[in-house]
Amino acid sequence: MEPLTPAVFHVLLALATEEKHGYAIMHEVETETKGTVKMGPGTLYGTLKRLLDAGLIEEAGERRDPEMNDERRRYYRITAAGRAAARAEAQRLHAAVRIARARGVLA
Amino acid sequence: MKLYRLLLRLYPPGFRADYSEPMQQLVRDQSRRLPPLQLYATILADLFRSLPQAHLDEIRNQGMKHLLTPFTYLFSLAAMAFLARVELHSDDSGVIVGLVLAMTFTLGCLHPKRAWLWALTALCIPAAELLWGAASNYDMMLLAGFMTFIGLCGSFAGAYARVHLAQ
Repeated sequence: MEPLTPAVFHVLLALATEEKHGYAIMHEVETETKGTVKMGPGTLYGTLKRLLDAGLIEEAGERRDPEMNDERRRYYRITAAGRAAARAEAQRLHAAVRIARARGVLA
Repeated sequence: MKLYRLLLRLYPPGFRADYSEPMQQLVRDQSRRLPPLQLYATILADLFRSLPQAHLDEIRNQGMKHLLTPFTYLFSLAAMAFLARVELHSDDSGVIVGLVLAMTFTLGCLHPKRAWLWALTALCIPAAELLWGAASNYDMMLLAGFMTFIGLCGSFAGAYARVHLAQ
């Protein structure tokens, strides 16, 4: 499996726990990465479109978010293939961190 | 939001049809926590990052068809600049009329639905005369009318040829 881009990986991680709409995904990625991965509307929906095309996520219908305003929002959920891709990427990064530790690059 | 709606037109039509509404919704959400200047700086940075990828994806999925409209507009601008230059450097009106016919015919072929608009390309000739030439007002009006007529002939001939060929 090819390595995932940081944006794709973080979107999959954001969806790993529950279904989310676009703004919630964007907000979570920004918070979890402490602002190092920032996504605007074009980047976010471009990434979501590619993930949908690849079958890594799927649409989970439209509904209102009780914590936000009254607008209906399109929700997305991760698929089994998406979870497997995120797991493979996490293992790849974990292996890289192990090597970095062994070579004294990372304490 | 009006400005953002206009900027959204830069995305390919397929992408716009699917995501224009949620993207506007997301910008509305962002506008609640970001000051306007920072919001538009973020939007512009995002636009430069995401536009090439969106067009590449559309080309991969649908081919180059969606680029035809922007390409035709660019071609019409280039044609106007070229015609204006020829007008200012040539005294042969036959050459100019021939060029207008050829250019508007090509534009009509490329985008038959906007044939009337391509006819206006020919107005660059009286405009060039007005700005840099020495023609009087009466000559200008005559030239503008004549050029629009020539442009209309060319563009509608192009549009008709395209539709005829398609059939």
